[in-house]
Amino acid sequence: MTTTDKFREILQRLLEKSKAGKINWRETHPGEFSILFADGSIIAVRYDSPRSGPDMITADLLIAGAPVVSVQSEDGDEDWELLSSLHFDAELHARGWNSAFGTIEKALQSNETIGWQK
Amino acid sequence: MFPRVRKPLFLLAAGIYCCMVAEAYAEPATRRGDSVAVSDSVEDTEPSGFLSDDWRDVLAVCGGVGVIITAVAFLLALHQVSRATSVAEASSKAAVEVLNESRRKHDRYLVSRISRLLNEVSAYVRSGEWRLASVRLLDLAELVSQISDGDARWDDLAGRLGEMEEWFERVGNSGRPCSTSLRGKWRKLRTDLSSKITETDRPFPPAEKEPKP
Repeated sequence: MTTTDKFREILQRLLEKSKAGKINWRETHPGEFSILFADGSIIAVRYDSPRSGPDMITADLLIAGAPVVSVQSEDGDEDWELLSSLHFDAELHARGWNSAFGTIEKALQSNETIGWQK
Repeated sequence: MFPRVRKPLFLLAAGIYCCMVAEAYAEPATRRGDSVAVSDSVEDTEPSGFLSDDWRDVLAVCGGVGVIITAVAFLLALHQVSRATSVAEASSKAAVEVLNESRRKHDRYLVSRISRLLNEVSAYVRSGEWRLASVRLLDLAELVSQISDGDARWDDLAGRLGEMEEWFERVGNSGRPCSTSLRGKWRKLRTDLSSKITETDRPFPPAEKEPKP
């Protein structure tokens, strides 16, 4: 197993943990979300949409600020599904949309009237 | 320097010099005229021994006439210089207009070629011939960058076409299908270029709307 394959596996497990809501993501740059680990290493997932090229998602493992392993996928590639799901989930958590969606879903499930107070 | 003014200036200077000479010789004569009344015996004598009174008068008159002629010539020269300047300005303006018209015609020619090439690229994209599309995109980018109407959007479009060309070449070399996002961006680029072509290819600029009272 290569380092990239190992990193791909870590990303898969990261996605599962993120979906369970057990990762604190932070938006470090516009379109880039990252996780900080105890030893100072960082995993960053970045979405790029060049004006005249395919959309791309890159996941980097940074040790002491330098990328050591990286998985990149263009729209339609084999890793696209994994990376786009991870990026989407990171965005939901980092921007607080996840809790907003949870609140809305709870409100929709209840029988009470929702919306502005009259 | 100032070839048209040099001659009148020389004439003016010569005239002034003649006047001064004439005046220099005329003065003693005038003073002597006063003394003529006193003594007739010295009427025709020449203190300088050079010119008679008549010749001095002639010289004085010639000097005066010379000054007048020189002044008139000088004014004429100034008039000619100003006319030449305005003619030069007019010819320069005409040259600029001719250049602008040539530029407009060249731009129109380029736009018609761009339009044809764009249709060609679109056909290649539809049939999935990415390498051919990439080659034509390169030609397209070159033509677009040659348009010189001063609109920065042409430069932007040329840059985007160049970038798209690289991606099309990459798709062609990889043998994989083109991604959805790249197709979407190509459609956006094609629409932007088409609308710019339509805007430029109009025979007349759009009329400005009058403000409503």
